Amino acid sequence: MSEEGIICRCEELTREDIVTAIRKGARTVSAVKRRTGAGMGLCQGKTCQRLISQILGEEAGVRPQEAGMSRCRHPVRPLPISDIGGTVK
Amino acid sequence: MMGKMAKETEVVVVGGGIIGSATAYYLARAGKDVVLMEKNELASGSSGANAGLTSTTWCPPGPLLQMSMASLKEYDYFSQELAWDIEFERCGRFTVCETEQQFEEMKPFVEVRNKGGNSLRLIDRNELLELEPNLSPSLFGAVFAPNDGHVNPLYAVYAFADAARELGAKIYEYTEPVAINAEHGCVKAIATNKGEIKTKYIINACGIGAPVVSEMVGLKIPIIPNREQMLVSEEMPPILNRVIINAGYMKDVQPTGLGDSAARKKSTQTVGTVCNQTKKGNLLLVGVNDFVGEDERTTFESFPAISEGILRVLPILRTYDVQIIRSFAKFYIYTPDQKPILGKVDGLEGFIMASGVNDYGICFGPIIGKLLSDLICIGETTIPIDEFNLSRFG
Repeated sequence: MSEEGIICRCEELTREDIVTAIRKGARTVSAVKRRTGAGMGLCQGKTCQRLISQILGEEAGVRPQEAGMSRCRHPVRPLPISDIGGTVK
Repeated sequence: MMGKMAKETEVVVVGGGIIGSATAYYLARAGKDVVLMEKNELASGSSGANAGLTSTTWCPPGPLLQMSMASLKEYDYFSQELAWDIEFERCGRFTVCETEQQFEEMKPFVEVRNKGGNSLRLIDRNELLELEPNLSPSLFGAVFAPNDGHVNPLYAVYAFADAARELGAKIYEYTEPVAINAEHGCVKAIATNKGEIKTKYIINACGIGAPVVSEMVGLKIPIIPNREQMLVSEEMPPILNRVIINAGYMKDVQPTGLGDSAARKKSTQTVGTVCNQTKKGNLLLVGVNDFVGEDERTTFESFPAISEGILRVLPILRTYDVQIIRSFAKFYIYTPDQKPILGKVDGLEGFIMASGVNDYGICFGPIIGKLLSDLICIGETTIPIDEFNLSRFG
């Protein structure tokens, strides 16, 4: 994969952005997320987390179990605020 | 990055949040030999999961107000002069009043704070809607704080930590203290899961974990985790120019000096309406607060509670059909009087507290770092911190 290849589509982050975070010390998927915002967008890391885990392996020799995943939180998919706060007119 | 751990240093800062990384930065800048240790990862505690607000509005006159204003200046310097990209902006904040009574209560509130040096302004509905057209016309008015704003709290922690490292500080993640060795009332060393470091000073900047570290030297500190739940929206075009918080929430949650300071009782739940649009365009919506120990799960009930409040204040969100993409929860570092716990500790030379920052740690981080660095390097602070000493709890 090239340095310019997009890893996190939602936040438009390239492989180079991820590698920079790893060079600055990130050693888990969560730490990359905190440094770059990867996985903080609309899909909440559904695609990029595995790719980041892989890059952590290539760049820093981190095993997938050590790289981990970022924490799953509600909602599983985006929810319209008007449906949630429905009683307010 | 981890490397082999140092055997000896002048200062060990425990806790890799905003307070710890800022303190390490100012100490390193002052030429001190400093180690910053974090049991998990940098910014993995409260500093990494909050709305990133920098606010002077709530601060009663005195050291808290002085500290908040001085901290904004540190953020100015750090982000402008030193060009660290931390998305710090003095965009302003509106504390909005939903009832006439709230609006009336804000008159003495503003007066007291302006006498103490702040520059707040009470504005009526018309002016409010002119400045912030997307707010609900049902609001009565607001307190306008022109200097308040926001920062990306994650970027702030990393920037201070990276800057500290550039100045020679050593940073160890996954490094947890297990014991503190003291002799004749003086700190001598700190033992960790990665080995021991000899040191003259230990700064306890552990947030909700601070009681654990203080316990190692037999000190009890009255810090309680107060869970805060928040929602995050998708990125959207700019709909707000400033930070919005409802007056009722500020009164419930912060020591406002309205005659009911520390109104928040243990075991009560508070629901607020805070909206902060980040640089990327996400809305950070706060929040539901409760005391549930260290349980950091989010609840389904918080979704309608937060959403209803925000739709009342910002009805335009319904028109946009804005989508909520995530919830999260972390902790306020609650103290009984909602003041921080800072400074030296009686009877143990070299042990320094830097915790209990309730919900204002992100705002106060830089100034706390600077003051504690001054305390160590020159023995005094430019803003008095005596009233924040642990000894006040007896």
